[in-house]
Amino acid sequence: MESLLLRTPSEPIPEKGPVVKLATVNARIAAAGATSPHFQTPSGTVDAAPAQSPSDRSSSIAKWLASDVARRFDGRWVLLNDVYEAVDHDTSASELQRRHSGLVDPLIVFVQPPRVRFG
Amino acid sequence: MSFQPLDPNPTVRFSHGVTYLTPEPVIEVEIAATDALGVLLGTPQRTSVLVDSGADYTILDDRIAPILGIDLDRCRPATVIAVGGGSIPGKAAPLWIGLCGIWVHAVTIFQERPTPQLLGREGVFDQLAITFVQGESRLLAAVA
Repeated sequence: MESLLLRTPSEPIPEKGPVVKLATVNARIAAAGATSPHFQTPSGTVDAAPAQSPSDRSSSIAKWLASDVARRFDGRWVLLNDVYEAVDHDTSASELQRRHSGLVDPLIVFVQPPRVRFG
Repeated sequence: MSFQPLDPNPTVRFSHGVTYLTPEPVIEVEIAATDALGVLLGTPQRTSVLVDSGADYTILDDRIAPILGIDLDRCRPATVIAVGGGSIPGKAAPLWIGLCGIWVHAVTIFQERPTPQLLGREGVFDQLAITFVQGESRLLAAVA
């Protein structure tokens, strides 16, 4: 009997995985061949993260920067993914950009800390 | 307020005199530009600047601007009055400057081949107390 084990019980399920186009998944499945006679390749092509207009993008970034999550990164540079989650961060913008130099258009934002004043 | 070494391992000794002659208080800073929202524009750079408490603004080589993602054609003109008289044209743009473990936002003047590049007071000395320890050839800085 064919058994298809997708994930071991002890392995945690990530809240979010990498964003992959369905077309890419289909191509990989086609290349690998059928794994089950009951399996059918999904039809249609959709983006897992649809493109936003510039104004929507700015609004989403501003919303993230105003969030409590962003406060944890005060004074740091943060790499955000397509759904505006913090993927990586660093005190050095150069270092953060270097680590993700493979990304085509990385979204890196600076989380401005509260204004520093001398006491 | 506790002072921390601005450059823990200074490679350039300096003296704090009436005129800036070598050896000079030169430090390395990281610079980056963002849009109004805070999104990184170009490629951040590391560069050396002379700490100049007598300079109103930070002055950088204009060849760095496009690398940082700054379009100088869209920046407002700025004229710097030199100590010895005369004026030098440039372009002003806001910039993030990383030093002493923090990032400060400072209006920066980009000029053709400034010699040397300067770290001025605007933005920088607002958030850092910087002192020159001449006898030890060290720069110290305190973050509020």
